[in-house]
Amino acid sequence: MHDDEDERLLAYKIFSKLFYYPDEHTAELLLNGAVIEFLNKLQPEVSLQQVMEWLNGFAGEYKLLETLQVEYTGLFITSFPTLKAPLYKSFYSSKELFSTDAEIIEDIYAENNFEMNKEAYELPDHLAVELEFVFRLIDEAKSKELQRDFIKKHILSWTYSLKERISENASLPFYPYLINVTVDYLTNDIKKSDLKIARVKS
Amino acid sequence: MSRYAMVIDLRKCVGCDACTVACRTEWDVPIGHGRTWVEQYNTVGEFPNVTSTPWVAQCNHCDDPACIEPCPTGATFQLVNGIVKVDTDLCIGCGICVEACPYDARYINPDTNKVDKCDFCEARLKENLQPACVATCTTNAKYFGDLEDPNSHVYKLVYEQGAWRNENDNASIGPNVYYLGTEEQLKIVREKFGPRKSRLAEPAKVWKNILKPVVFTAIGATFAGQAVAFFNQLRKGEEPIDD
Amino acid sequence: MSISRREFLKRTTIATGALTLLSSTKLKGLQKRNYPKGWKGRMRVQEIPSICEMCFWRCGILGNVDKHGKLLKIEGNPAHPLTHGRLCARGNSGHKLAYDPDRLKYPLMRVGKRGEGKFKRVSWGEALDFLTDKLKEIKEKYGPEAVGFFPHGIQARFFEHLMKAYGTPNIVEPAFAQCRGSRDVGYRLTFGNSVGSPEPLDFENTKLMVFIGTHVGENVFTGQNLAFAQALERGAKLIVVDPRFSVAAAKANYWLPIKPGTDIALLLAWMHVLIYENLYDKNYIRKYAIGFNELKRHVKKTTPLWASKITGLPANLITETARLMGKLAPEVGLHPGRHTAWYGNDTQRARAMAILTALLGSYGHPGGIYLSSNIPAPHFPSPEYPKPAARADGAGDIYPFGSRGLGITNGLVDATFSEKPYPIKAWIVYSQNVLQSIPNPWKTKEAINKLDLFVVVDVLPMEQFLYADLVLPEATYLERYDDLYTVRNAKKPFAAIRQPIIDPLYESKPGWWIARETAKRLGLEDYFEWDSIEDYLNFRLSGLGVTLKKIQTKGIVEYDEGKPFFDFSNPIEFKTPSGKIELYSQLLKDYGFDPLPVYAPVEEVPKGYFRLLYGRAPVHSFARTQNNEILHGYMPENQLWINKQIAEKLGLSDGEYVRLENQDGILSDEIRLFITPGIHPESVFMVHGFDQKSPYLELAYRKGASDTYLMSRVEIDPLSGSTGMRVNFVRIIKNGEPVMVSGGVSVISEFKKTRSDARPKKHIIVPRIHQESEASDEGC
Repeated sequence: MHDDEDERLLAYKIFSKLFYYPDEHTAELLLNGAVIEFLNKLQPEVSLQQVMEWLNGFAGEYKLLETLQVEYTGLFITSFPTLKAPLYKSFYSSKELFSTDAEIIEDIYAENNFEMNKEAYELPDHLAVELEFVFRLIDEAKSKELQRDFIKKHILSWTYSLKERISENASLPFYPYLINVTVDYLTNDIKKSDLKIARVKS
Repeated sequence: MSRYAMVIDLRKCVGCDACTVACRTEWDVPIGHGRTWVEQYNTVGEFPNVTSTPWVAQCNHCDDPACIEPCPTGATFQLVNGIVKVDTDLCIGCGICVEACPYDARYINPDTNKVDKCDFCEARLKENLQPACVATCTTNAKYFGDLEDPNSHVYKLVYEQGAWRNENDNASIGPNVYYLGTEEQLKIVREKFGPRKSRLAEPAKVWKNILKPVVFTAIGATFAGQAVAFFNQLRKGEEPIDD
Repeated sequence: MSISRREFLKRTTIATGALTLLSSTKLKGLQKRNYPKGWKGRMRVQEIPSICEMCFWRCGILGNVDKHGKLLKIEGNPAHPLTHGRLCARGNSGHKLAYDPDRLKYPLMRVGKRGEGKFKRVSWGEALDFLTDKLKEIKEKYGPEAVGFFPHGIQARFFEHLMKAYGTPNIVEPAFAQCRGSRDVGYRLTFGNSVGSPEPLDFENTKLMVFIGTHVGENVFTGQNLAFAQALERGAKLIVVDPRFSVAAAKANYWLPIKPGTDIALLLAWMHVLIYENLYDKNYIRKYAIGFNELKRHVKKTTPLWASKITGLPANLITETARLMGKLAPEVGLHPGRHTAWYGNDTQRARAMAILTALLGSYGHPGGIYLSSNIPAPHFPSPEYPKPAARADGAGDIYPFGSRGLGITNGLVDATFSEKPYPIKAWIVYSQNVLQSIPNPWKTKEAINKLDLFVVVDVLPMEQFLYADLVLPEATYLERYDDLYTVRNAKKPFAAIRQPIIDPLYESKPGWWIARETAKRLGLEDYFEWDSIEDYLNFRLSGLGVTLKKIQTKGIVEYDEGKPFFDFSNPIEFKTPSGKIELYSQLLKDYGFDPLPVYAPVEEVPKGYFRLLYGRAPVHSFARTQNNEILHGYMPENQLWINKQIAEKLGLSDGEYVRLENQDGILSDEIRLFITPGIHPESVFMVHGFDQKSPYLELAYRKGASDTYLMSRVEIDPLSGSTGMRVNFVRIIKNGEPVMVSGGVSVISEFKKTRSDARPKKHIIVPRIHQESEASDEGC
């Protein structure tokens, strides 16, 4: 059990980190083979080949970092000709940012004694923040039901559309790979926890 | 007792849509629908001898509303102060009232699948605020008040200045949104914006009619549900209609 | 008891090296709350007063904020002395700007080619380092004057202050050359004071309002709408001169559908009637004006009959309206207009309007134009600006009466393009939209291509953003403090504060922050010596004897000592060279211009073409609001107004899409036809600001047609440098072929009557309260 939870803790941490805007540390993580290997272990069925080929093309971190940043900006922040794949739940549920959904999510954070870090300048329904929240729930060993419901309702409810948008619009193999691993992992994760919860209840 | 009414002065109105946007943000009315709406350019004649008027409309909270009787669940009802309301807990979104209203003042909200329309901002009235559209009107062309109160501005406009009711042969059911306008303006209004004929077949207009069960089957509701609806309404302290 | 999961990390399957790396991974989006359990969000369910910026009028607003700090609704602020709590459609839609998915969220640096739209997100530190390194380099190589600054609005004042401290004289705003510059010059030459903003018209006391091309009601300033409607209600008369049957025209007692470009002829004929029928204010003119005899001689031959042939208006209508003005003078509110950059003769046209105002005796008189009052709001002390080099835009030399305060945008574009009188190497565009506000955008683009540095500070990714080297996201007007907003053109002058209603979203920053941080990096922090923005505002408010805190709940402070009218019992000194109202201007004569306004014909509309007119709609501001979800819902695209008889002749039908081709062969995007009897046959009309060329604006992108993109030429006003833009002609293209007009549909022949404001016969309804039988049991 503990091994499982450790793995989940790490997985959500990595997913969250990788969906934030790339910084030097992000590049470091990617260039360190073990992190990619870990992702591959999580979801071996998602093909790694393209990402590996792409990563092998980078000698230095700096080049990788800038490439990632340009890709991230184009895909998720301000893109051409229309917003390609924003990372906010509100965009998918109501085409407006900071909609009621974001407020509901912020309420859930508050109920669990978290609040948005103002210095991070993000909205509560950003994918990375949501994943970070799950990471923190695992870390504090909060209820499995809470985790499952949050993942189901507030992450998986829209990440399938996000996944489509990313694979249609990405110019590099990395983010399609990442979202595939993330979505598959989350889907499996709630299936597992459904079973566990059922077992506990029975 | 009060009898709420509104008076719109078309001589002052410039058709700027401030009222309809304020209404939209007050009530989250989806784009493409409106509890109130404006038609800005209604120019008639030949250059250079032309006339025009802006047009503003909304639910008229009629003396004899055409929308109450056809409602199969009793969701539409009228308060003693004249406000015609929709209880969204009871509304099943069947749209019969939308067809019934000769002013097209109702719409089905695609977000909730319930009927929505102007309620004179009843919630704001309770907080001693003017309806959102009146409060924001950039030319002070909309007045709201109580027709039972001889000191109210609307009383003066209706009974002393002879504000006009938008009625014709299609519908004469006592609308409580009154208009002030020049003769030229009201002529255009009569031609373009008079009430339409009801789109309901005659029998469908009456609630206890034989057609009722058919409608119910069609929309999948039951008489049991109807009874629940009725008691819900009683619990809320609103006056039930027609019984 | 819960044990932190971190203790078990060692058991995992992941390699140790990566583990060390991961242990240093920090997620920073969330933090632990320090609040007790049961606490529900930020309890800020309240109304916060501020001022609007959906357009430039800056009406008072109240923002309703929920416990999450989300802005739910904006309403008018009842404490605002001009709007009294009322707010237009745009003001009511402001929250959609803050939550627009397309808005600029982070500083961006260009990585692709200019115009390609490829960026990467950078931190504010990187962005400002890049900006200031470039600015230092340019200053060293070319001098500070090689930087052009394009500001708009009070939010840009801090950065403007910085640019002056940096040392550039080249600060230019379209508010002058593309808007009201020529008007202000014309009135200043006549009365010694420009009109300013909002137009100080005393509609409260007026007996007659006269609008010449002014479309109050469609060009919405809530305060002016209100005063206008209340004047109508009081029974004030209205004359509207406009080739288009505007909303105001529909309310007018007289609509004069003038042939476009002939206003000066009408104005001269009106003066003729007033003077030769002895209807002008003799006492006022004798006491306060010079040059009356010259004027009298000048308008001797400009009779209504003469003007009738030029303007297409019946002579008796001209006479009748002039007599009405004479009869109701001095309580005549002759609206000076606002956007007046029309034909290149605009300063002279404004002069004619000012002279007419003087003949009516209504300047400084109740019911006419009132005077600005000073408001004591001291500036925060800062060092003197360095003495700048000569301006590059021509203000004050090529265009002798061009404003040195607001500058001439098109002059600076020309200078950048031609590199004369000296090269301009950088532009910083701040809340302006240079490709939609300045005509001839192709030239503007070529000028941008010559720059070493092009910086855009904005809220939305407008077309210019595609060309930017650096993009700085400004907080919206709902998220920031701005400089104090003082209104001198009110009978009681007042100051209003803009304060944050919500926190800035993403990494957007308020203008004062951007300017101060940039100043620090340029070594100019001495110019920003205040501790905080609150500190700065407190200093400015000290002149009014209040503190920021004291007025934060009201948002407004009035100053009781306004002097809106002349004291006619005392001598009056005008700020003109002669100290009097200058009907005849020696100054103009000295510079080689007509000392009295002369009618000169503008270019005729070529056969098969229409004159392109443009204006405003109440649900949009400039080219700024087309991406707003609500406002887009009301008016997603503009329409082309075309005269009904012409359309019938051409076989055009209402609602069909056509393209327009201008005299230089430039083709517009598709635009829908709006066929109406309410427009002069030789012109077509569209609302300005559509067909946004930035694909980053999801809603607004390529909807309707752009008037700016059809303005391949302008007629420059030699006095002010302002760009006359109504000199472009278009023909209608349908299925790729021009739709030809065979001979213009002519003249306004039968003018049947003036309009009637007759009320319908009273149809008295008996009050229900007196209908006893019904009163008791009505209820359903």
